[in-house]
Amino acid sequence: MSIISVKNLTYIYNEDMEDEVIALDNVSFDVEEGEFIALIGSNGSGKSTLARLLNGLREPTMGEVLVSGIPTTDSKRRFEVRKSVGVVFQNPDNQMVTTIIEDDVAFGPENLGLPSEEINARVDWALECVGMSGHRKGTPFRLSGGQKQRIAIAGVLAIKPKVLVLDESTAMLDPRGKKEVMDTIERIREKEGMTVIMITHFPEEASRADRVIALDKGKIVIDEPSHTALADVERLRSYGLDAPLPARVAYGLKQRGVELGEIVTARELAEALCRLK
Amino acid sequence: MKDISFGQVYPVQSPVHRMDARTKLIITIAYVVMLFFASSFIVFGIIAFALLLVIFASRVPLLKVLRSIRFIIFLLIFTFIITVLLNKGMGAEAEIATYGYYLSFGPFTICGTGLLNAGKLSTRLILIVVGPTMLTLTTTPMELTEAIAYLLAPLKLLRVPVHEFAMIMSLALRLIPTIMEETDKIMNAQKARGASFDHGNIFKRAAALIPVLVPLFVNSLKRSEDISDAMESRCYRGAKGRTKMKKLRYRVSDIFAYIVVAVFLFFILLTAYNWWNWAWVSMITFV
Repeated sequence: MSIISVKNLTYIYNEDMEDEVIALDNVSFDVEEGEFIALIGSNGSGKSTLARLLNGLREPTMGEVLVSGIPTTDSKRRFEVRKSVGVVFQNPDNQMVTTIIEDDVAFGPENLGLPSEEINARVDWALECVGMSGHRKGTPFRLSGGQKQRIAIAGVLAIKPKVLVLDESTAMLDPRGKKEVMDTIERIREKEGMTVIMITHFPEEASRADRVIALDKGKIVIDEPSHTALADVERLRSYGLDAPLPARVAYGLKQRGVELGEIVTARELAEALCRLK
Repeated sequence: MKDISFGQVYPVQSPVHRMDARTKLIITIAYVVMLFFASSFIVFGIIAFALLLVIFASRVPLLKVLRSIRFIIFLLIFTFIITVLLNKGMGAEAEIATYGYYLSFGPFTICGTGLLNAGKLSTRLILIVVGPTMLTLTTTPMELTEAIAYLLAPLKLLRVPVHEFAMIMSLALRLIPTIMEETDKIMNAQKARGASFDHGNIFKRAAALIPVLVPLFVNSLKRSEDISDAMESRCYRGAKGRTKMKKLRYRVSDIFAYIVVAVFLFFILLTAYNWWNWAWVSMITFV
């Protein structure tokens, strides 16, 4: 059974009103355990709405979302859904519930009703995962954006969800903060084998994923392994998306008659260029 | 970021920081009660001295604590002036006989009794702000939430949502610096468009704040929605099934603190009422 199964999902804001907006239109896909998926789409493509639907923060207008077989609309079992799917949002300041880092990370496990020793162990583990153990007793206010976002990730990790959803979690960060967070996510994936769904509009970040799902005007337009999805510059452009820079370079060269093949990462580009001579 | 001492913990280790949050909360309440019963400068001095001892024990820099006064500086000046000007004391002759002066112009007067009363009022105001600041400087919002929920627990019988109430308090404290920062940002944005906040009379200045308050209010609503989403995503469902990492625990020192404060409170009440008409009590309450 898929860990998350999205079936014919439609979500409409302000239904039957003048300002009705169809955010998601008949979207279906399955997420298997251990996958690393990048969900990309331009502004208003419905990707952030999708994040809130995956753990039942919003209820589908039509269709359903199943988490380990449990529909997110089942209010009696919603707690199980939230335990399985942890969402990290865009603004780290709006995810901190308190002013001491360890208290903030403990918030999730406390809600699970765990004994105090277990909570303590999880806080240690989660902070270790994001590389912030040294700040345990500190306050988040003096930290950089990247560090704050890593604390927010630790807060979700401490719940030990099966799936980690990152809703544009790097969008408000500077390049260094972005890299910090991306490296952290990759490390967690390697160490814990966690399923990750990363919502982003940065194509470079999407290239780290195994599979890319692209949304345009609420519909899925691409659902492919990340390499083939991101190498197709023209198709991405038609959906208002930018391919990663190396892919664009290869595309530009191809138009001038230099065929390099399917290229997504800087390393591939470098190797292909070296083979030219 | 601006340094805001109100509502934020000063992160050091000290006996005051380690004290049980419930003890600190109750002591703070007792402290405020004492201030209302204190009526002479000597008694205020005794309370201030006790507070000073607590501040030193907490290892929070004195300046940091005193900085909380600047939030009420205008209130302080305003109440002082009004109290002085409107207090007629014991009347012109008696005032001149006691203090040697009595100035009056129109409906206003300046006299010894008025100055004395205004001084006491200001002292009380300052102490009322500084004391509770010590509570927030030495107690984490989570501990405070727990303590408030604990003290209000009897209200649960009346179906009052005690946990939720305490959580709201704690979130409010948590958001003070974030909202301050945001106010700053919006003010700068409005300044960049030519708004001015330090020109004109008080009404013009107040009117100039409207373009700041409106976006601030709208943003706060949006922010509260985001925070509630984040909290729910982290399995929050109120007090139901919730446990704590750090449990509140009374130590021997807490019992000791309670006794000391009880004795102190009794002493202050004694100075206020002087049940047994002791001479030394009237001496220290004279000024």
